[in-house]
Amino acid sequence: MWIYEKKLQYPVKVSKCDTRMAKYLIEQYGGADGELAAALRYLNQRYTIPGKVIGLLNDIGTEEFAHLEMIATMVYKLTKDATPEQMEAAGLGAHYANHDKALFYNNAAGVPWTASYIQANGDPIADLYEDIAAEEKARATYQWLIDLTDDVDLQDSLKFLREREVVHSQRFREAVEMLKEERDTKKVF
Amino acid sequence: MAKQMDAAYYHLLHELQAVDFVLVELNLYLDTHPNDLKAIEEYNRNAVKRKELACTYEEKYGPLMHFGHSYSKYPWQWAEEPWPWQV
Amino acid sequence: MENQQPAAKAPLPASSNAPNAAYGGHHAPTQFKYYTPYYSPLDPCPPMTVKRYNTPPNLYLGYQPMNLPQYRPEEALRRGTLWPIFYAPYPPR
Repeated sequence: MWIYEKKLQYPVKVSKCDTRMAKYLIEQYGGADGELAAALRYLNQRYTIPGKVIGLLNDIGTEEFAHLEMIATMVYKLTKDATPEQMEAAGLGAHYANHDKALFYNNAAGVPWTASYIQANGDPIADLYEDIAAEEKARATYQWLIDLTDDVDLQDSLKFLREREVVHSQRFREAVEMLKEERDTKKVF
Repeated sequence: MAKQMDAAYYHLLHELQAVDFVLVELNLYLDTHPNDLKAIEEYNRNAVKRKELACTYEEKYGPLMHFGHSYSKYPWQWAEEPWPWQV
Repeated sequence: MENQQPAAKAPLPASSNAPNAAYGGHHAPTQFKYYTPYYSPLDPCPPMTVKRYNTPPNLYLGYQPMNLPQYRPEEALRRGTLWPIFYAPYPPR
């Protein structure tokens, strides 16, 4: 089971009232390589991966939910005090018509999240390479999001999330190495 | 309107986030380096530090966790605002 | 022109490129590479003469060695990693 902890993993500070960014940030909420897709991808793959890397998939999958909550916090803060006119000016008129201020799992172009974003092949190497690719794509998306804002506080939180993709990618690469080992021998690094 | 959080709250929260982050990093590292004894000792040391800090935080600002993993004063504190995305 | 780095746009602080024990005493790899795309006289927009892409440290390190230097907890949180070797700054365009 999961236990909720009433705090964010990293402080989210949004200093500029720039509703436009909410439309772009939602990519990492309900997009193909967003945090929801990441969490569900790893937690789903853990059932059918060799035992020595289950723990890693479990733990990275869990951390992704903390990142999902950070993205939600950004979107929430950027939209909660926006008028319908401001929502419309930010390109969120259609979102407002559909959802008011409710968050929704769709990408920056408004396409709803779909399970086909999550690959689960069952082959451990194929799945881990998929995970590495997902981390690199998420890293790149954070770069494009950082490019799209001049709010240094928002950039700060996005840079934290981008760095986490780098570390997760590293760990998945190490997981591949673990699966390449000939035997279950104690490894000396 | 719920209470406004003061500078001391953000400071303590940040301190807790820092120790917890070290624990996340060591946890993922140990998932791929299960035989690194020094890192395990470091993980355990930080887990102790984390417990003390969480205790201090909860005494001042209420429970961090639900389902029996934190204590509550009267009235029931868990469901009180603010939530993490509000502060 | 491949991977030629414009001097004016050094993406990393000098310390990040210092010789590093984790790379056997060699310099840490650069985290951005640069290239120049072909520009046609018929192209409609003013050219972006230099394009860059990111090559983060996880591409180079292999299995993380034990006992690498660490940041203090507060700095680790701020940078998003416990180990300086993984720190990957991103200067916005």
